[in-house]
Amino acid sequence: MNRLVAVAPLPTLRTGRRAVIHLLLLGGAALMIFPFIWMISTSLKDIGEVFTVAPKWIPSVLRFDNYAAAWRAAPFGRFYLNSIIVAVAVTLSQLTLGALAAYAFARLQFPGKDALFLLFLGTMMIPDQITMIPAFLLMSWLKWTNTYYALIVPNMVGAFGIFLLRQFFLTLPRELEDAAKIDGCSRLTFFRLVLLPLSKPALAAVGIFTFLHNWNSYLWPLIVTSTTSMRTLPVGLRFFVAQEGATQWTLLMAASVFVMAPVLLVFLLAQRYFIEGVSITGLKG
Amino acid sequence: MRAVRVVLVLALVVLVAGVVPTRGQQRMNLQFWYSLGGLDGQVVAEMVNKFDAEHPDIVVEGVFTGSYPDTARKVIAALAAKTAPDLGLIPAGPLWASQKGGTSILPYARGPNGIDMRDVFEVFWEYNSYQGQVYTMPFNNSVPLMYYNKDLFKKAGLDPNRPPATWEELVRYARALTRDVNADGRIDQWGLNMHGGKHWYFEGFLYQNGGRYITSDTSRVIFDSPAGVEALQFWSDLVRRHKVMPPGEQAIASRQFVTGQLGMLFRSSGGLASLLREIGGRFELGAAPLPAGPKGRAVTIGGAMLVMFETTRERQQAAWELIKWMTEPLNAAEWATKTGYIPIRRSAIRTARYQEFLAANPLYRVAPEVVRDHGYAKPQYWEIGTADEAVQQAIEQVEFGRATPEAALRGAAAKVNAEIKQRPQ
Repeated sequence: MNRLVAVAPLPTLRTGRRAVIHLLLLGGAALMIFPFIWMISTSLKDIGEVFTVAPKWIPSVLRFDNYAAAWRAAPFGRFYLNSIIVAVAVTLSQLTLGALAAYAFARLQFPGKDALFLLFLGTMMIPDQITMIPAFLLMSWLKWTNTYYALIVPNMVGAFGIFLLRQFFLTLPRELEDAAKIDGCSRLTFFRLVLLPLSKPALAAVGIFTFLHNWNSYLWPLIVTSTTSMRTLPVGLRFFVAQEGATQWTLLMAASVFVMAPVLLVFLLAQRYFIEGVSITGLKG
Repeated sequence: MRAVRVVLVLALVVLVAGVVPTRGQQRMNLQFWYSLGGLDGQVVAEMVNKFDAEHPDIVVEGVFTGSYPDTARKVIAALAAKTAPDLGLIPAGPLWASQKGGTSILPYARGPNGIDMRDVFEVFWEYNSYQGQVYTMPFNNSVPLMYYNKDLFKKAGLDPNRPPATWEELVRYARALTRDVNADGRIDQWGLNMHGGKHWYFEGFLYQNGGRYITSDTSRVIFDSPAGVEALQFWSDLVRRHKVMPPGEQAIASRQFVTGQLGMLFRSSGGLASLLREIGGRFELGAAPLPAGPKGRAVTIGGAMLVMFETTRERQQAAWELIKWMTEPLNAAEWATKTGYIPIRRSAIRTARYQEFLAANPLYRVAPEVVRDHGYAKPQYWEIGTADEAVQQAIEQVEFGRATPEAALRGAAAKVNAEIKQRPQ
């Protein structure tokens, strides 16, 4: 509970200290934004201008046609659709199933609870590369390769989300549930009407992480799909990277810009919930 | 609600109808995986489309499968699950083709619909063999070349039309090119550097010194032989004694070169088009074979190959049709001119198309000559990933003075040989 109180506004900061903090934050922000600006700058360059001794931030000729060329280089419309379907489906599923599982682990009593929870945590310790071939064989046996099932189903449940949500649920006072019960709430109604609305910040965090992870996922979609029409965006980016020679840097950066745009959008949308969630939980403290 | 249901049912019907094959036309659908991205990948895709247009009975589905290592992972999974494609453009192809689920092109290459195998450079057949048998068809091949900045050569008083031809000259030239331009006590123009994959250039030095990487039966790596130690000593001297090559900066070597901060660059012949584009006319580019060592000139070839997988007789015949078509003299010449990879056939080099290309782009002459005169094929073996990584680490240790060439190579060889011992027979 202390953790939640601590995020309340900081009223007693002196102007001097505040200036220092802001300066530090500005420096950090500049550092973070540097690669993005470089990406956008390169995406508008002529290839001959990509490597120069004094880095050129503003291209001498703006090549907006890089974007059109990048979009045409591979069926990016289709890749977009696939990426959105997969990332949204997985995120919704991980949030729903993750929250239910986390609630069970946080609040219910049942035999083998701790062992089961440990088992879930254990799955986080196993590198993806180790489970990849067996998972592929399983998909193949189910005849799911090259379908949305293979892209979505194996990722529908994630230990990370369950863990994070469980920890968050544990910080909420048990009295809330008792009060709700007295008012005649069933467990599921309490879960839906009280617990979830209170957990917006945690849900937003899990949602962002899951969405990002699946949006960026490369190796599994590459291995489990074998037609261009089932491919996702990260595989699309690879189209510009050459093995020995002609990597198309300008097109790669242009494509990176439009691949990244939805992620920024999701973050901006979810950021609102971060703040909203914080203010709600802050009131309660 | 009912309307929604009707729409759903209709959608299902349409979906199912789309999946059921239409009878009547007997078109064979071939799946073709290729591991080349960038411009090269686009050229592969164009070739596949052209083949489709010329062969109404075959439809090729070209699928890009990511980088070489990613493609290898995909092939491993596919072979295990028995879902391999009909054919692929895949690195280390002979290894996969020799596995259960893979097959050799040899019966087709020698069959009634075959090719004149003598037209293909012998060294490429060696590169496409495993344990003495040809399994795959050469397609995209490259060799390391020495690129150099002719403008910097002139400034340093070196003849831009006479690049270094021996190890001794390489050192002399590199010394003349290494400079502290702004006199701040730090070198800001280096004589020599190498782009990426250090082990490939070490292989060059090793072969130029009469050494070999691995025994021909692939039972043991032997790059730690006295010839190997000497080769790495030469490398070490370039960095530590003559101080003409910066240590551990291979990842930025090409950037140094195209921005005029580097006199000579070792890089794949496949990088020529990219270098020309990135230099953008800021200086005049030269290209030459790697200098000769004590035992003359030598380099090892690299690249991927066309691999056929075990399917039905009809499918394999169709796959062979595509392989044959892609490597036909005219198409091989077209591929080479568009990508800068080396034409695999003598007759491809003789085509008017390729000769015109060479006349307009004389720098492309170097790589085919290198292959013809002193290109070597390293045997294909399973531990290549471990070996290349171990050698790269050994080179790094030596560059930073953390180990002697002998100790570093011995350590690397021991590691690889231990893994070879565990190879399932």
